[in-house]
Amino acid sequence: MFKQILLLTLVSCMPLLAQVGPVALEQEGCFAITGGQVFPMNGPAIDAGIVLVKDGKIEAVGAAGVLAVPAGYRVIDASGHRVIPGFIDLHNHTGASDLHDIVYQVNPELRVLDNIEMNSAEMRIACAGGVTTLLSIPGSGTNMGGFGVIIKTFGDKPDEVVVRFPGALKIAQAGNPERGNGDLGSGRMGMNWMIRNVLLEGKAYHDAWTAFEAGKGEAPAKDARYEYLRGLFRGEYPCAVHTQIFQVVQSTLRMLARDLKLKIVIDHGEFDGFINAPLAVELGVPAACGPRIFWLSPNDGHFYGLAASWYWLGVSSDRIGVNTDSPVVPQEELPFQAAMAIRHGLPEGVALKGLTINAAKMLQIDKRVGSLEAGKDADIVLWSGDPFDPRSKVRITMVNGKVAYDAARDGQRF
Amino acid sequence: MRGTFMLLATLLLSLPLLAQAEPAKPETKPADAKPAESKPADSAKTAVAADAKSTAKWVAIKGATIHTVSGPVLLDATILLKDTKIADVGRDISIPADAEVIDGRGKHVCPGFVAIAAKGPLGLRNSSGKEKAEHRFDPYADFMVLALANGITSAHESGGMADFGGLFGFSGSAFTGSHTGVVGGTVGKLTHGTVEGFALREPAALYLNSPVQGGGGAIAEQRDLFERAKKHRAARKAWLKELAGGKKDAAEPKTDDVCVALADAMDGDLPVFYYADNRRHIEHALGLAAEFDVPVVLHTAQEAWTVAAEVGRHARGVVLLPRGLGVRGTRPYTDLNVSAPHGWRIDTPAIMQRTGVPWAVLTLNTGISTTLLGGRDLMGLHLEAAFAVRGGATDAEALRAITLTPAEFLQVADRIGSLEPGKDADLLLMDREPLDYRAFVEKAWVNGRVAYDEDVTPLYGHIQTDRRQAPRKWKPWGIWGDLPDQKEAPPLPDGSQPPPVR
Repeated sequence: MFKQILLLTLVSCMPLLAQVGPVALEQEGCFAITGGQVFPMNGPAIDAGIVLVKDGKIEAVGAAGVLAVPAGYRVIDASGHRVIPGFIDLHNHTGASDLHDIVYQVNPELRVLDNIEMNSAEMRIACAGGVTTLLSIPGSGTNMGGFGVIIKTFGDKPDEVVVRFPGALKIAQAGNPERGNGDLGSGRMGMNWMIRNVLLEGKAYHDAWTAFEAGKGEAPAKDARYEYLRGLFRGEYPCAVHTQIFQVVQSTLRMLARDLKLKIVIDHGEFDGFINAPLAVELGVPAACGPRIFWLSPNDGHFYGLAASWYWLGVSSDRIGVNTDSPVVPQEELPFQAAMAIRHGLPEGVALKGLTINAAKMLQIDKRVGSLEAGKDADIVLWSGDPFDPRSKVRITMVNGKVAYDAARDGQRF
Repeated sequence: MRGTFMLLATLLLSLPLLAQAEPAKPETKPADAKPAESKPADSAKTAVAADAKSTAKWVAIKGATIHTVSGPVLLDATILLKDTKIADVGRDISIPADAEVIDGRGKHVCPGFVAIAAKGPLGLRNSSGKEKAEHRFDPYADFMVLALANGITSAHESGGMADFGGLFGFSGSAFTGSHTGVVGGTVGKLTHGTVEGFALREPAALYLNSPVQGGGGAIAEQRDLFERAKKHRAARKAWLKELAGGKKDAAEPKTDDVCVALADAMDGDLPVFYYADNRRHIEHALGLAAEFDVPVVLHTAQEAWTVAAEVGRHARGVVLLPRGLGVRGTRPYTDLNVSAPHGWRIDTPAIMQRTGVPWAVLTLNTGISTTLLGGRDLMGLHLEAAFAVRGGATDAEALRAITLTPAEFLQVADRIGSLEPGKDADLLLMDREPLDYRAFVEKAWVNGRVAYDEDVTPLYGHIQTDRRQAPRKWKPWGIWGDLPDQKEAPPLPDGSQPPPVR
């Protein structure tokens, strides 16, 4: 009897032992994504590449023959998949944004930093759609909505998700912020005066403080209204400018980029705004197009792809991006926005970079995200195929080295 | 003398035509392709017959990948059109000598898309509502051109259904049918430039809304309609029997239009679209469908996946929005107060496919929009179908969902929806496979006539991709004058060279 029990115990333990062995050795936070076609975005695609992830960062990227999988790394088999950096949305209103607070017509004192909602339904949607970084900015109800924040779409605490604050200053010209009845802001003249005026005030404030910091003069009075504008003049972050239509974009470029020498990103850039491409080229200004995708010219009856037109009229391929303006286009459709841009003439390679490394460059966060390089954040998405093909789906989304979405675990959402 | 000479000349001229026409017969003869009977003695008649033969217009698209939809995808195959019909499809087809031959190598041919519950593509003008659609449609409507350019060759526009397009092109409430039924709508063809061959079916269908939201009164009202229709159907049957039995003065049973339409639907002669998006509405519809034996098509049946087997048993099929009906940003919606399976799922079309339920695809915005967001309206019907593939449906079923399945739902599948001999020559020549997001329609035929040609209509022909070349000069805006030349193609980020610029 005793022998029988001993035997039974031994037999039943054996499979356990066999299972426990390697599991015990697996290191927390260490992943090896193997077998997929890796698109590092800083070089050509690697067939059957390996991406090693450790402690939230990318440890190494290489071909299977060159790079070995260290012991204890959890292997994610990406055979038949594309391994692509998580996508970056350059213009979003769901991550941390109340759309409007109309304190004044221009509100450089407002910020969305305090509204971040981690793991909200919207953020889970973003993860399931392969979007890992957002520039979440205020709406365009005023000419200056306030300061946006760049966040990751997965994480438990605000500090964990914030990539940078301020992410960008939201400026909106014409259209949405227009007032009526002859009030200030009923026309472009008044709206542009307000934008220019507050920026000039901010510039004066910045210059006074810069002088003081260099040891000249008295300390100026602190003014919270202008404090965040200082980083703008130091070039630490850009203005995301809601601008579209030929003459409005022209004023954006001349007033903000040329005269005030601000770093700006043309957000939307829709309708016939792309006619300004030569000026944008001259000033080195990038364009993040969307949510509209094309413009039907009344002159020649062509559908002009917007991103494509900025591109083909000379804007350098690393200064072209696409956005959703989520929730205007649902967040998970960021790659579909790019698909539509491609359909209307944007080269696929430009689109892929525009959602990854070039978007990161436009937001000046390319040291952290946008490509699969050692030392960068492990924001990695496994796609079943061409990410722009509506028929392809996301299998796994990793944000900061954590599996934020796994179709097998969570059920396929999109 | 002069007259005799003319007759002789005509005869002589028609001889080579005859000689050519004879071997021109395709191997599988279409019913109407029989050689005309000719009597040598009656020379005038012969000339006329020869003339008639020679006016038959043959078009062959050769060497293409042909998506027949009703059958397999044929590689390196030929489709032969004769006048308004498809004469033959296959890999080994003899092409008449006088046929216009189009090189289809590297290209794809598929049936024209069928837009269900659409708004705009038929170019219908408002009227008193009394005129037939073929008398109030504009064959030069811009919307028709835009729809054709994106592959739609037939559309169903309804009296009973509203377009879904809100400001952003997302579906909202939709379907302004009534729980007591609305009869109307038109199924027509996008016969751009001609009024010939427009009509397919009018009225198109009976539309019913779910009464469930309306409560007991509405439920009872709808039930009453079904009961009355059943009675009317029986009475009509009896009356027809009496007529057949020789009782010529038998009184025809009379009732209202909706009731007649529902009786027709019970006979299988009229499609019924029943708007039922959530499970309660679907189950209610299925209950009526089963009890009264009505082949309903469930419209926008978002939660059909929760009762897939029942849908398969009692409904004719479902019309789905693969990207979901939910309000933007909130889908897939989940109601925390509901524990039963509910909501939108990306794999609903795949579940329907596995269960054997026919499903057709509807776009988020069933109108056409040139100023709003791209890829959500009828200009992206094939893109919407591609989203069904993301959820696990096959490419073939997804293509069927925008061609043959909607044609079947609308009961016009004997004419359109697939590429088969004898069917209408409504087809597309595309530069890539139909569900590819980069695919463009190069030519669209409606009733055998080229209704859209991208080289003629300046919508997309200038767009440069790796398969297409674009002109260098753009003139998007007249007052601006010449833009700088489109730049010499720079190398792409991946190092590869873009296509040459013409």
